[in-house]
Amino acid sequence: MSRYKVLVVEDDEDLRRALTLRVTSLGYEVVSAQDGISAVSVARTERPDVVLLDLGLPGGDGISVLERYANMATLSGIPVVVLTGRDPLVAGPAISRFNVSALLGKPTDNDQLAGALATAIVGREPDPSATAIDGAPAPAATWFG
Amino acid sequence: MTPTDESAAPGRLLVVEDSPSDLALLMLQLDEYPGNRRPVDHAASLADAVGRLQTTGYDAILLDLGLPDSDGRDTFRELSQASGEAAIVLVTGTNDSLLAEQLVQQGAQDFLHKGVHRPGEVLRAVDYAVRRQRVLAELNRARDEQLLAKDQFLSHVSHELRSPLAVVHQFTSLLLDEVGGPVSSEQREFLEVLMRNVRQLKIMIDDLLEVSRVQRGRVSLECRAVALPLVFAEMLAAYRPRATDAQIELAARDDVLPDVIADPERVREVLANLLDNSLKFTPSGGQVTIEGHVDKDSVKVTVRDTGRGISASDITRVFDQFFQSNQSDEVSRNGLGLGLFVSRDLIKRQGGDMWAESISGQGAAISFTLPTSGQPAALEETA
Repeated sequence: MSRYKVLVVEDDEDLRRALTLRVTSLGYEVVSAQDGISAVSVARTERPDVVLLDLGLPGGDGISVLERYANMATLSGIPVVVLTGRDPLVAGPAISRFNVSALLGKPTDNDQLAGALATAIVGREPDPSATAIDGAPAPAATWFG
Repeated sequence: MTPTDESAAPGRLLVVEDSPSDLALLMLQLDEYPGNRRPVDHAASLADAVGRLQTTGYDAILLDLGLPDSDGRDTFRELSQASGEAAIVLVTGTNDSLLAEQLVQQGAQDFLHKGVHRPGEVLRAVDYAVRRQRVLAELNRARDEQLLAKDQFLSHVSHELRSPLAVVHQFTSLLLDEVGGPVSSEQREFLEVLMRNVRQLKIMIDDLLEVSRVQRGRVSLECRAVALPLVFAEMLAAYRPRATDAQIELAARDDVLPDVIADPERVREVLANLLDNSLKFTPSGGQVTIEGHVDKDSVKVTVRDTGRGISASDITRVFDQFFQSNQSDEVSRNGLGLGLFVSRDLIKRQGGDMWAESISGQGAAISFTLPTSGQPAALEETA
């Protein structure tokens, strides 16, 4: 069985490392990016199944990353889980027009994170070139986060 | 220095008066004063006055309350809505002093009785009214700026605190999940203390943001008909595991309740806050109940517990912002003391009220009301 691939976009080095470990422990293959520019370039080369995206980023913030994904045929179908420290009342409307499957606040509950990622990849086929390991998560049918 | 000594030319004055003889007397008193450099316009009806206010900027308005197209309180209300920052000085008959005093409470700057005044007296009243109005406007502007700056600060701080907190939270949970290798039972205990405090910090940061929203009235409400028994059932289901763990009996007791007009999300938020408090302060073996009763045109909801209660000195203060009980043990020091402040604000915005009752040592009861729709509960919603 192939593993699903998650792109973790986070500019804070410590948090990027922590999230990489966490998402790996959930059974995903993880690639990461530290700013708005690499969020696009890494997505183009790695073709992740889901992107875990911070909004406050150098080199073009998360909203501009979402805009660029939306405008690129190869990336527009990738679901995005937004993980932000911003006020959800402000962030929610700003991201509503994009392919965002969940909005999580920092710090997020790990069960919510796992549920959001599983829901985002429902219906996607994992990349067969990704390393197969046992215990990769099956997509959850529903999520009530 | 007299009021008319200001270097800048004084702004225009609008005299709103329908009686030709009263107008003539007023104009005479304004004109005869040598210091008057204030240009004066005249309107004979409310419609005329409002029209002039829309096209011309005025510093002050001398307003007769009895006009052909409007009278008394209505005249003042209509004109003050159209007047922007112009100072309003009422011109009243001698029998209208009480009304005039009430209108001064509502924003009029002063009132004069109709009749003969000493030279310069009318103009002086106008000049001082303009000064007071300017100070007031300046204060309001400064207050708005300060509130905005405070909001931006709170929003910025709460945002900036979240990333390092997320790092601490994530690495702590990774250690607890033994991603970094096995942990001893003592290490696990220490990590759990760390995790509990991380959660506490998160609640405090959320509170900061919420209170800032509440104060600026930025809370969005989506009110509709809500069947409270369904909400009670949801809350019981959500809190039962915690109550069971704490060996507290959790139940709802309600009459047949009509729908209330409320935002169901906000009602859940308020109930969650009250249940959190009750479960926190109730010892094992105790009880926490949600009660619902019809009370005239509203439903009264009470969350009652058998905890230690609220002391007489605290009972009026529990809804204050940043209130913390004097019983400053670890249980009480939990959050910023904003929960009840925010809850009561949410209830008031939905047309209800909230209050506390307690006998110290015998439990607490926090009640709130929500208006009913006047319609009986829809059967399909209670099924």
